[in-house]
Amino acid sequence: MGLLSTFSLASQSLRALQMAIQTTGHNVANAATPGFARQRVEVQTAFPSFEGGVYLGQGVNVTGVRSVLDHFVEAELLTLNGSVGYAEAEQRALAGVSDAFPTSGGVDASLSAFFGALSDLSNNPSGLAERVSLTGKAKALGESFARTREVLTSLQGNLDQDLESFAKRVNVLASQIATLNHQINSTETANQPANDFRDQRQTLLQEIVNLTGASVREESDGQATVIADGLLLVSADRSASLDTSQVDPLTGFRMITYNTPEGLSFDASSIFQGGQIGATLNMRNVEVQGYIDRLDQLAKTLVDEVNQQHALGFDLTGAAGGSFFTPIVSVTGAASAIQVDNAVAADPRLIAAAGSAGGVPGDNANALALVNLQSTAFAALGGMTLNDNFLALAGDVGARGQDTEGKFNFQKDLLTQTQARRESVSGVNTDEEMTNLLLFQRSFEASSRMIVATNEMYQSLIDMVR
Amino acid sequence: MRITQQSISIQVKEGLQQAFRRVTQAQEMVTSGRRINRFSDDPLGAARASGLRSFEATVNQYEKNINNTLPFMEQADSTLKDVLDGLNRSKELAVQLANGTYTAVDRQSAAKEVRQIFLHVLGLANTKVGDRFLFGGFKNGAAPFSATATGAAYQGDNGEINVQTGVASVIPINLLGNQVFQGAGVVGGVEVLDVISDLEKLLAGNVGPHTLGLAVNFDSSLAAGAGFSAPNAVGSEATPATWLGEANFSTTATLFDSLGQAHDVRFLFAKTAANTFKYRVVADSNEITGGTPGDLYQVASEGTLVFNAGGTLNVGASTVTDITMNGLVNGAANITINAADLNFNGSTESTQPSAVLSLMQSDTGGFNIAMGRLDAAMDQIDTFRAEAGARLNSAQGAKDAAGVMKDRAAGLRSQIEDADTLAVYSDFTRYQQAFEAALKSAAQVLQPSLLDFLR
Repeated sequence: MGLLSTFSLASQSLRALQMAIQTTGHNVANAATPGFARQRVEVQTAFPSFEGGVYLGQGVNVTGVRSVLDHFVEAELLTLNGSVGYAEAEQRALAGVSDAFPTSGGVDASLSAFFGALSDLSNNPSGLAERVSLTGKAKALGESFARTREVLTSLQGNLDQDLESFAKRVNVLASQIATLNHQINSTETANQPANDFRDQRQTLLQEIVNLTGASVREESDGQATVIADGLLLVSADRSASLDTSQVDPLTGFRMITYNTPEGLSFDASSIFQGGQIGATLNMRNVEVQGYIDRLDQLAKTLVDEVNQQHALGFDLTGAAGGSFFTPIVSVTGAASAIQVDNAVAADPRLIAAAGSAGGVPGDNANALALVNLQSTAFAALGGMTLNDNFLALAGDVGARGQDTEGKFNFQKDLLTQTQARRESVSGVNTDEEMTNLLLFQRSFEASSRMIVATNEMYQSLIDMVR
Repeated sequence: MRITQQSISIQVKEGLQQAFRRVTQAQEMVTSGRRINRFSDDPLGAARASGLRSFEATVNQYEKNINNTLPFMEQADSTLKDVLDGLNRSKELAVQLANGTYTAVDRQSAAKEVRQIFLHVLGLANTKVGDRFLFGGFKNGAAPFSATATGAAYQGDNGEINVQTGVASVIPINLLGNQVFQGAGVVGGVEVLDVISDLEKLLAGNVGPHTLGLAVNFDSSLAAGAGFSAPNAVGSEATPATWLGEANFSTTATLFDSLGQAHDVRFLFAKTAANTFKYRVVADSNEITGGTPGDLYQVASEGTLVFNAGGTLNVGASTVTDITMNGLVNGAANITINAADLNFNGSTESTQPSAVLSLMQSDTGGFNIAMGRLDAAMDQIDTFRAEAGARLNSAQGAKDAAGVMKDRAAGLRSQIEDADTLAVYSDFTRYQQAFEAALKSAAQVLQPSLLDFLR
């Protein structure tokens, strides 16, 4: 035991307190940094020395700086991000789909107006004004269908666009994660804590899981492996990449090409199931496409049935009716192809309102038969009338919208709660840090006082010798 | 649980977000007045409301359809009333002038009035509402009736104009001219315009002697035969081929019975020797109860005609008999033509057989017939007027029903999609207060810090 050891004890204490103050500063500085976990300087009492028959305390030792983390919550956050991503993309897309189906003024209103104009024609089959009004309403009906379909197809286009930016983001994230993997590995191999690297990586992992619904596994060397639906995205310091530059010639949509770190590549468009990418793929290929198909089927049925009945009648010139709408051959695209037949549009006298050639011009039998189509159930529409079929479609969209919004809100709440739990463990409370700071500051002052005292003791000794 | 500034901030953000969303939602309901603003608000309710809106539009259309046709139907009613007035006036004149004290001059001037009535009724029969003739069926391009020598002819068709008044119900709005004015398909139907026209002729004295003049073609090149073969019993039927084949020539005359109904009678002539013929009188089988259409029916009589060289009938050598037709359709009176009224004089080799017809009745009898036919015409018009009235009623009923359905649908739709204004507004106020409270408390929670007290 000697004064020198007291000196060293005090200086060690000063160093430990300085590190604690530095860490407090770091915590306060990062209080608002996403993904940051508060850090603590880990100290323990130094090994005592046996002197003069007693164990004498040797001060404090700094053993490391540790992030305060709950690993269970961290893992839960990762998984939740995948479900939140899926629900979010789904909800966003369905909000877009809803725009195509307003509660008033949609296709149903145009259908009513069209059949109303037909009914007007039946009241006055020889009236030219009624005929012109009918072609006008028919044109508006076609535009209404086309507009609805346009909203859906442009939404599909947006989803397609989204996939490109998602893929690019995944590539950035994967390569950053791989880089951080390497840094964490090398830091920890040198027996240093990689707290800040880990925090950063955790944030990136959350984002990549949100996009792909991938599962994350931490290897024993501390490196994270990211696998999305069986596709290895990150392994150690190597990352795969996604490419959306190729277009499927059949659908006209982007394909997702998966490139392994080794340079192999294949089409993975149908592999992604989770996260925003999985949801977007499903919406683009299945759900929105399904709505478009149903709308097309409705449009085709309308045109077919009206034309069929129209051809049974006779126009104002006494000739048999032709097509009222331009005939539509294929169901695909039917909703954007409803057009009043050119001949009829040019000469409304060609509308076949009469049921017999002899009855022209006062015969309204065929006009009445056309009006009747409004209340006719068609097998092609699942035994529904035109209007009911459209309302069923709109109702389904609404129900899905409600459903997905509920799911998204639930997932988001769950995420928020889990984030709050993480926050309660790893978050920075500035009041707490300030209290710590005061404690460290006072201790620092006390330790400084120790050095002054020891120094004075030295002085007394030296003075004694003189 | 440890609480950090971050967790307070997350909680405050989340809470404010939620409170504000509720305020916005309530605000949307207040401004739009609707509980359902998009399908996802209430998919089932929105679909039902939209369905009801289409239903309302359809019912509205039915109402519009009926409103469109009401003037048409009302016009039919008032037009038929005018026709009745015309017929009534005609009957008055007939009753008045049947009295023997009136002179031929009086009748002539009455005839002129009846002519005007005829033209008026013809005009009424050609009434047009909008660009559609009331009684023309589908043929509304041209007037359905045109005047002829005997009355009027119908150029319309049998088209029934229907108007939709419900999902599965239509009502016909037009009365057909050939039924109303010509009695087509009506039991005991009469041709109204012809009746008036006949009255005019009666008054004007366009009535010939009550004899049936007939001329016969001698044709010397024609071989003489044995006359008609069996069956020749009076009252028996034979195939037209036999009768027509055996006849050398024939002619048709139209006779009126005492009710003024017309009947076709055919005279058949067969040469048995030079200037000598057998004749037979048959009625078209359509005229006989139980007769087969197209067949001839030996009705009345047969006899021998012997002509002098000049074409006059050798009365002593001829056997001209009375013609009696029984069993006529529709309870028509029997027709009897006295032998004395049959005039076969004037037959020559060059003339084809022909018949000159006149009414078989005396003057007073003619007026009686005319009055009877006018009564029948009025009954007929009355019947159709009643039908027009019934249709008008049912149209009005359908209109009222449509109005009720529309209101009910609108009420139901309002219940589904409209916001309860009071409730929504109080919700809005409540949410707004909650939002303000959240803001205030957030401000207080976020403000204090240890730093405030470290001075």
